[in-house]
Amino acid sequence: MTRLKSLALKLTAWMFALALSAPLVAAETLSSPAGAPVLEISGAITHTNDGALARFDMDMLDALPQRETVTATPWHEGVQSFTGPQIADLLDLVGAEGKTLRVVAINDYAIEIPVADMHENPVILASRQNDAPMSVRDKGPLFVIYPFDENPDLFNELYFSRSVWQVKAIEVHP
Amino acid sequence: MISRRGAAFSTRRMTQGLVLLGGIALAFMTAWVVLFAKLLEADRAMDTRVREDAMWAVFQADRHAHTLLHLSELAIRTQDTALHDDLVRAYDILYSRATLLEGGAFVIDLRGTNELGELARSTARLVHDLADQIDALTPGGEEYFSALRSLHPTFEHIRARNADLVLKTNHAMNLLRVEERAERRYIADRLGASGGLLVLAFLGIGAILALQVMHLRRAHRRMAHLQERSRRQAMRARAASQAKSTFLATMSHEIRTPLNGIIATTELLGMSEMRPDQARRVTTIRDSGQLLLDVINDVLDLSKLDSVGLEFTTEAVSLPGIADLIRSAFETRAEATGIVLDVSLPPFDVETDPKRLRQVIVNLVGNALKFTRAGQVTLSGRLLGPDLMRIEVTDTGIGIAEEDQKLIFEEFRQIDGSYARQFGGTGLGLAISRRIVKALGGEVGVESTVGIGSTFWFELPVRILGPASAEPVPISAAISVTEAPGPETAALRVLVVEDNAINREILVDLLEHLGHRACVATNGLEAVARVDEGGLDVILMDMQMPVMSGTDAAREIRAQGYTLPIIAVTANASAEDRKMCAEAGMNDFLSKPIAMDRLVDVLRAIAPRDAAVVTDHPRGSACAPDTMAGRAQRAECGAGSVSQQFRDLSATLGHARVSGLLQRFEASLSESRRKLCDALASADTAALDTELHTLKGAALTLGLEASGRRAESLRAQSVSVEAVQMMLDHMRDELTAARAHLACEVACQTLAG
Repeated sequence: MTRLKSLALKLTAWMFALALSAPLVAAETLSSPAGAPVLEISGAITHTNDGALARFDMDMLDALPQRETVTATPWHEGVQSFTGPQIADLLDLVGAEGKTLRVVAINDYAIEIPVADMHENPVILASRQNDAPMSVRDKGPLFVIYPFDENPDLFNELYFSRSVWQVKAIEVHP
Repeated sequence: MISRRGAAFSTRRMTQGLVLLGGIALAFMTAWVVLFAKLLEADRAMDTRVREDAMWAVFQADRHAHTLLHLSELAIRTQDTALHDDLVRAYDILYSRATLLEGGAFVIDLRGTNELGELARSTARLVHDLADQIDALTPGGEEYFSALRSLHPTFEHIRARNADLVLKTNHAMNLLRVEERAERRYIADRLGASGGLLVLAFLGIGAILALQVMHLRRAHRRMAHLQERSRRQAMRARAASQAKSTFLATMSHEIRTPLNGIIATTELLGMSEMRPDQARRVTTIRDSGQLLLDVINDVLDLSKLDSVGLEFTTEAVSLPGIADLIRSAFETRAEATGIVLDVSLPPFDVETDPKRLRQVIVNLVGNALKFTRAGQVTLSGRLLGPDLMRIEVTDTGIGIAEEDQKLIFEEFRQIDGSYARQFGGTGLGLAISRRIVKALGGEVGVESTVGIGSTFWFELPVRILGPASAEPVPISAAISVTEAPGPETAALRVLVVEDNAINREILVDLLEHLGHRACVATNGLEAVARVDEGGLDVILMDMQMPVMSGTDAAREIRAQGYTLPIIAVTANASAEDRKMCAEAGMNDFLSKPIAMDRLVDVLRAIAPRDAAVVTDHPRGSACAPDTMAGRAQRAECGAGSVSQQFRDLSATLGHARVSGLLQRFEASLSESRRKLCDALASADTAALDTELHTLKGAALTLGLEASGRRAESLRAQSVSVEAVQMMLDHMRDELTAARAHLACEVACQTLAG
C-alpha cells in the first residue's frame, strides 16, 4: 500500500515536474486558463489549450514579459501609461504562423492588422492603464496600444483604427 | 536730334517700366511665398489635428444605445433574466462610448460650447448617470423587471438623443468638409493667380529687356553709321583741302610764269629811251610786279608745305657759306635803298637742312629790308651750346607793337592792312618760317619797339661739325631769290646717261650751251663701260633705265673705286628718292624737267673741285659759242601762254633750233591724227594709249605743257574723234602761241642788241 502510495506520489511528482518543465522545453502544449478567459487566439497557431483555440486568463497574460508604453491617444485626456505583453511575444507563445491578424472587440468591432506591425513596433496588448486594470467601461479589459509618442509616424487614422479596445479575440490568418 | 531725344525718352521709360515690373514681380513672388507657407501651415495643422472620426464615435455610441434598448425590451417582454449579462455588457460598452463622446479628440470638437457639444455632453451624462442604477440591478423576481421597466424610458431617451447626435454630427461634418474645401480652394486659387501674375510680370520684364537690347543695338548701329559718315566727311574735307592746296600751288606757279615775263619785259623797257614820267611809270610797273611775285612766291611756298608736307634732309652746312650767299643775294637791294647790310655768322660747319635754313634766313632778312626805310639790317648768329644755334636779324625799321608781335607769325594775318599797302607782301614769309623752325624742333620769336626796330630770332637744334672748312660745302638747292646764275664755270666733261633720245638730246644741247662737253650713254651698263674709258668730270644719271638702272650703275661705279661726282636725274623728288640716291653713292640730285638754273648751280658746285683741262670729246662738240648772249635772253619775252620749260629751252637752244623743233612737232601732228583715228576706228585702246603717250611726251619735252596735259587727260577717258580733233586744235593753238613768243623774243633781242 505504502509502496503503491509512494509510486503514486512519484508519479504525481514526475507529472508535475513534466507539467512545469513543458513550457520551458518545448511549447507543444499551452497551460489552460485557471480564471475567467479574457482572450482567445485562433487560426494559424501551433500551440493551443482548447481544441484549435488558445485561451488566456489575466494571470497567463500577466505571466508574460510586460512592457509599459507611455503615450497620448485620441481617446484619453493627457498622457497615459499602458502596461501589457507585447503582441509579438503572445504570437510566439501560441506558435502563430500568419501574415495577418484579425482583432475582434467585445462589440464585434474587427480590424485586420499585418503581423509585420508587431515586429516593427513594440505594440502591446495593454491590460493596465496607469497600473490599474481596465473595466469594459474604461475600454478594457484589453487594449491594443501602439507607441504613438515614440513614433509620431503612427499618429494617424490608419493606426487609430488598428488600436482596438475591449479586445476579446485574435484570429491569425496565414 | 529729335529721334535721339525720343530714343533717350523711350529708354528712360523702359527703365521705369522695368523697375515697376520688377517691383510687381517681387510683390507677387512674396505673395506666392506667403500663400505657399500658409498652405503648408494649414497642412501641418491638419496633421497635428489628426483625430479620431467623430462620426464613427457617434455612430458607434448610437449602435450600442440601440443594442441596450433592444436587450431591455427583450428582457422585459420575455421575462428572461439570462439576458442580464448581455444587457450589462451593452451598457458598459455604451458607457465607454459615452466617455469618448465627452473626452475624445475629434475633428469636430464635441467638447465645444456649441449646440453639438451640449448635446454630446448631456447624452454622455445621461448614460453615466445610469451607472449606479445598472449596478444595482439584481436579476430575479418581479423587482428586477419593474426596475428594468422603469429604466426603459431612459434607454429610449438615450437612443433618441444618440440618433439626433448622429444626424447633427453628420451635418457638422458636411459643413466642415465644405469649409475646408473652400479654404483650400481659396488658397489654391490665390496661389494660381499670383503664380500667373508672376509669370506675366516675368514675361513683361523679358519683353522690356528684349526691347532694350533692340534699342541698344539700333543705337549702336546708328552710332557706327554716324562714325562712318563723319569719317567719310573728314576724308572728303581732307581731300578737298589737299586739292585746294594743290590747286593753289599750281595756280601760283601759273601766275608766276607770266609775271616773270612782265617783270623782265618791263626791265627791258626801262633800258630804252623814255621821257622821265614814262620811266617813272615803268619803274612803278616793275616794282609792283616784283611785289606781286614776292606774294606769289610766299603763297606757293605755303601751299607746297600744305600739299606735300615738310620733308627734311640734313647735310653739312657752312655758316660762312650761307652768310656769303645772303650777302650776295641782298646786296644790290640794300644798296638801292641805302641800307647798311651787315652779315656775319660764326665760322662753323653745322649739320642741318641747308635749304630750310637758307629759306628762313632769306625770309627774315627780306622782311627786315622791306620794313626798314633807313639805317641798318644785321644778320648775326651764335652757338648757344654744342647742339643749339641762334640766328638774329635786327633792323632799324618801323617796329611792331607788342600786342601784334604774337600775331605776325600766324598765317594769313596782317597786323594792319596799311602795312601791306605801304610795304607790300603777304606776311606769309613769317608764318612759313615759323612752320619750318617748329618742324625742325626750334623756336622763333621777335623783340621789337615801335619806331626803333625789331629783332627777329630763331633757335635751331643743330649738330656742330667743327670750324668751317676752307672750301664752302656745296650748296645744291636752289634759292628762290637767286635771280641769275653765278659767274661762269670751267668747261666740264659730262656723261649724260639717259634712255630717252629726245631728253638725251635736249640735255646734251643744254650742257653744250653752257660751255660744257657732253657724251652719252643709253643705260647704266653703257655708263659703267664709259666711265672705265676715263676722261670724265661728272655724270648726269637717269634713274629708271632698261638693262641697268641709275642707282645700280652708280653703285657699280663706286664699287670700282671711281670718285667722280654722279648727279641723279629723276622725275621723283621725294626725300625717299634722295635717300636712295645718296645710299647708291650719288652726290646730288636734279629733278625733271631740268631747270636751267638748277643745272647751273649743280655744275657750279662741282666745277671748282673738278676744274680740269678740256680734253677731246668722244662725240665731238657742237658747242654754241655765244652762251652768254643766249642766257641773257632768259625770260625776257614772257608772254602768258608759254611755259618756263619752253622759255628755258628757247633761251638755251636758240630760237632757230626751237623753231625747227616746233615745226617738226607740228608736222608730226597730222601723222598722229591719222594714227589716233585708226586706233579709234578699230577700237584698239592699246594703240590709242601708246599714241597719246607719245604725243604727251613730245609736247612736254618741248615745253608745251597744256598740250601735254590734254593728251594725258584723254588717256584717262573714252575718247571720240571730236575729242581728238579738239585736242589737236588746242595743240596747234599752243604751237601758234609758242611761235608768237619766239617771234617776240627775237624782236626783243634785236631791240636789246
